[in-house]
Amino acid sequence: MRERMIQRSAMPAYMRLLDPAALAKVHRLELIARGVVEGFVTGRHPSPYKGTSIEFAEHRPYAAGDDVRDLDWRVYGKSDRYYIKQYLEETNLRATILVDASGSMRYRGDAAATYEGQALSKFEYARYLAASLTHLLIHQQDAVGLATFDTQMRGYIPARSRTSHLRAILHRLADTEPGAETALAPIFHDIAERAHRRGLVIILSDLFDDAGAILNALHHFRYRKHEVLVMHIMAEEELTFPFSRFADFRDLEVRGQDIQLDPRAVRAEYLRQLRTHIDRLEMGCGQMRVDYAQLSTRQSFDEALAGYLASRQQRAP
Amino acid sequence: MGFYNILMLIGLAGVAIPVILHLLNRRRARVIDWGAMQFLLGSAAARNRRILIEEIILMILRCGLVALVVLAMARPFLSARPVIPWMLVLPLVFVAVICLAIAGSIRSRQRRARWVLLLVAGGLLGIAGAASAAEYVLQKRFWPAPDGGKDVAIVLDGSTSMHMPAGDNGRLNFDRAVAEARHVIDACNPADTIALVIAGGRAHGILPAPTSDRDAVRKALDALRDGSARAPAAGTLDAPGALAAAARQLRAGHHPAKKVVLITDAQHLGWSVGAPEAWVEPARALRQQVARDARPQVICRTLPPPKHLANATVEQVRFSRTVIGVGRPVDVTVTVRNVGDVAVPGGQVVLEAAGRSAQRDAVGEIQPTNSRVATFTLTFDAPGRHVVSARFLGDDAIAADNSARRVVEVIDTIDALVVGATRPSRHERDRAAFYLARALAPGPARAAPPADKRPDAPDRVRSPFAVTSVAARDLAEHPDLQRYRVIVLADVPALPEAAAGRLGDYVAAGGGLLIAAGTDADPAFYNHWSTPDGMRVAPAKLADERRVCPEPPGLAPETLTLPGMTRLVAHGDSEVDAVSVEAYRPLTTFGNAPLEAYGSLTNDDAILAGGRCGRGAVLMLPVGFDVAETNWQRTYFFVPFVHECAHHLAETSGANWNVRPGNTVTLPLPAGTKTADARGITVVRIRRDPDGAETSAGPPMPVEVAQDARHGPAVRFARTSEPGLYRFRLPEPLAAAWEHAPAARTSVPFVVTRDPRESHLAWLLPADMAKVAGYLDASGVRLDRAGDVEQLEAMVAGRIPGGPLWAYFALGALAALIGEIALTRWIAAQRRSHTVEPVAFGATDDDARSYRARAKAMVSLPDASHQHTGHA
Repeated sequence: MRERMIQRSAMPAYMRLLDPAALAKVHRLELIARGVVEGFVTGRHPSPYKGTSIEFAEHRPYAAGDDVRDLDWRVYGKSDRYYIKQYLEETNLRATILVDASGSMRYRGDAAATYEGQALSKFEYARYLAASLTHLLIHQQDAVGLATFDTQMRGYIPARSRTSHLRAILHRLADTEPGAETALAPIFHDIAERAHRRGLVIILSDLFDDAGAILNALHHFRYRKHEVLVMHIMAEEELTFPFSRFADFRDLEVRGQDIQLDPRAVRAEYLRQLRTHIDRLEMGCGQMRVDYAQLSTRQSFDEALAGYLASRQQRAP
Repeated sequence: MGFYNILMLIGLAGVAIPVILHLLNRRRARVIDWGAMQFLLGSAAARNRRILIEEIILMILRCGLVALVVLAMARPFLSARPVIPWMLVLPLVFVAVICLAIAGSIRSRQRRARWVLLLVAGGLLGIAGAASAAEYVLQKRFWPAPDGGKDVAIVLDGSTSMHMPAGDNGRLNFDRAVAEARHVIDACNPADTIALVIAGGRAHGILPAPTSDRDAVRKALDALRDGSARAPAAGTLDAPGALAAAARQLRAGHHPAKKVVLITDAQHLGWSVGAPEAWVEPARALRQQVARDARPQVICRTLPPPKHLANATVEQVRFSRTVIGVGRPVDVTVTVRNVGDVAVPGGQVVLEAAGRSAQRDAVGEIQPTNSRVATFTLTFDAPGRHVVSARFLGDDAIAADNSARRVVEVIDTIDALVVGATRPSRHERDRAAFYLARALAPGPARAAPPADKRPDAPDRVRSPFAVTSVAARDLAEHPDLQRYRVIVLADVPALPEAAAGRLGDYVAAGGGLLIAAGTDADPAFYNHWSTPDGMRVAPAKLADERRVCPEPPGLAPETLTLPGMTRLVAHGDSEVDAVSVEAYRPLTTFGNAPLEAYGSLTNDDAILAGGRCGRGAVLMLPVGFDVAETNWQRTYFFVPFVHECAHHLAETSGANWNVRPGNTVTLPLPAGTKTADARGITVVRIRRDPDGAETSAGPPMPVEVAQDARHGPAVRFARTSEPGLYRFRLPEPLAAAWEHAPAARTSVPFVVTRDPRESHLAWLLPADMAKVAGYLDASGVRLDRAGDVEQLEAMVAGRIPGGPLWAYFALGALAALIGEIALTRWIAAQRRSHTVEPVAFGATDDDARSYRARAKAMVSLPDASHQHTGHA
């Protein structure tokens, strides 16, 4: 163990985002797209294109320009008409991981799971999750891109499937620190506009924004035929609001904004508003077939990821 | 409002403690870097106003709690004479508390507002404190503690109304007064001397002189309460008299300061509210005992009256006649009235007469202000003065007014003197004197029952009158006119001057005179006849003779209004209609005074006129009972008519043995009684023990001897302020010669009746008390009213008196504490902060190990799923 710690300490900072134990847990799992995705190489995900494959898809009348090699001569023999035989194509995935780097993601909390002896903030949690997912996807031959943002896009790495691309993404993740306010919806719209090809959009965020705007933005992704996976990351304290003594709550996003109050006085109302927010998100995601996963930082990220992937695999058609 | 521990008010600074703790708590607030500000701000915005209000109310309760505890510990009191009204001070404190609470509760950013509120609160507290200190100084100046010792006279109201239960424990007011007197004793300094006075109709000292021996005073008080001492005073409190008695007692004291403590129920009766002159002498007597620059103080402690009272009182004992003959029945009506405001359940009225078994009559429930009457018939076998006692046995508040005693005089013979125009002769049957004498005494004066009387036959009515006849010209020499209760002038034309003067004296001294002035009478004599003192004797003026023929007028029965006459006229055999009067002298009035007519003829001329002359009574008939004038004397109506007239005169001329408090009782003595013997007569007040035996309550009291040449010797007794039964004690030589009471030679009873107003409870109003204070103040005496025993103690001890308020403040503090706890709990219940479930989020398994096991179980299927996916 000590030897391993020594080895890790010798690693570059970005490499520390890949936890061998976590990777060991998830390396057998796959992140498979549920819908069709537009890949650029043959992979394991359903593709909207018809191509060479062993799985028959459909017949369609011949049109000028079609490759005559695809003509189904048997049909021609029977019906004296030209039909093209089409096969289902499987392609690789173009996944874009959106990591919320707003100030609120800096919240750490006392009940958060620890990693290397330190409780994880929501951003760190998201960073580890993003690293693990990137590793997983790249090793699936899928292309992975990364976008970090707060009120604006902080960094964008287009999707690549090269193994070396993993390092670039980890590098970016390691370099990113959470910053200013959250403005999820404009960023989502921006990314939805950038990604022309259908793919998988993975959002790692605490979603502290107007639920209606978020859902609207998610709808944009869906409109673009993207499959969306929302990983809603919350700290335990944010879910239980366990404070009992008079406290000065300082805003992590807006400098100088704070509020002094007796937490007991607002706990019920806070939890009610939070519950309403989460319920709206959950219902909205369900309605637009967005995969919505709730992850509390109390749970270690590897277990949470493994659990999520396993349950996703179980739910897979 | 003042404070006994005014330094404790410094503790009001502690009101700031909750605010300081609150602010410190805020200052030490844990800083939490928070991400979900979106929801926190939304929650705070939704509840901000409510939270602020809750915090302000909580802070008010907490600051108020501290303030109330501090105020209670400062022992606040409501001064008997407040200078600065508490309605000014208390609101200042509470407004300050509210300002403090708001200052502590508002948001940290509103610092300017907070400082303003703190300054306002501090200013208000300062003003309240300064006002309290000023009140303390002013009160100290108004209630200076006397330098050196003081003489204190404790005057206990022993009037009848004090023997009523008041308060919840049903204790008698008199017992409460005794208990409070003990507090007064305790409040006095060891060097002070204390006098004890019991006051009712008359006030007297219980101790011979003021003493500093506390045990002696307490012992005397205990004796008053358990009844082993002299009977407490009774009747109506004479407040000026009580003050005078206290002044007499204090005269023996040697201290410079004098205080009179009067503990009373403040019944209005007896306070002489409208008579300032009654207070002058007592106040002057008290004022003279202190130095010029000092003022004696009268402290009046008024015991609170009961809220509701069910009290029956024997209001009246009435006899059908006051001159009662031996063996003659007399009707006694006893009136029991409810003078309270709650119905008195029914009971029994018991009538007792000496030597006779008690009679009982039940009376039903008596509603407030209503009365019930019990009727009895008494017959006395022996002459003399008999004590008749009526008692109401029922459940009511004041037992002392449930009994009444009366003395009735039972006489064997009423001596009557018939004065005729001439000496009796064989022609007397034609004269008025004959008819009138025979009418008064139809038979022998002391007739034995006939031997052949059948057992069922009614007793023959024996006349009580013993008649002596005398001629007018012998009247001047007739011995001892005073022994006659009635003298009849039977158609005497005129009296010699000496006889007229003597007879005038007789009437003025209380004798009864019946004048039958017929046609022979000389109007000039009767119309100008007067006593040596100038009082007119005849009640009406005789006019010239009037003859009415041939239809003479008769008697108008409805006009006969003498007592007993109505019953007589109503009798079927009275022959009142047969009477006709042919010749008479019409009666007219002297001057403008209306004629007091007791009967008229059918032609409206008066036939019977009455009036008083001095202490005596006179009736006048304008007929001479001559056969030529009227046939009256030959009818059955004549004898009873004359008897009723004579009875009426005898009653009014008799001595009064039942006197109202304050009136003088006169005991006439036989002629020739020596003054030395008369001086041996004493009067004792009689107390009836529970076993019925009579004992004297108090020492014998002397009488005043009156040697009046005209009225004969008599003794008078004027100290009749206390109701009850009294007896003249006659010395042995006088008792032997006492012919008016042969059955009880050694004592003659009389009764001082109770003032019925004493039972009709009406309390002294503050305005009345202010008037009395004004009367005393004019004479240099200060009157202060103590509302409770604490004030009484303070006034006696020289402290600032006031109604203690600390209990109210302590109760307020308790209420604030309970309110704070209740509000805290209510707020917690409203917030439901501890009951609200956290938001369900993510994996529901709280146990990480079980979650891990489930995740592993899922992970254990990768090959199958992978293969499946791969094949797909």
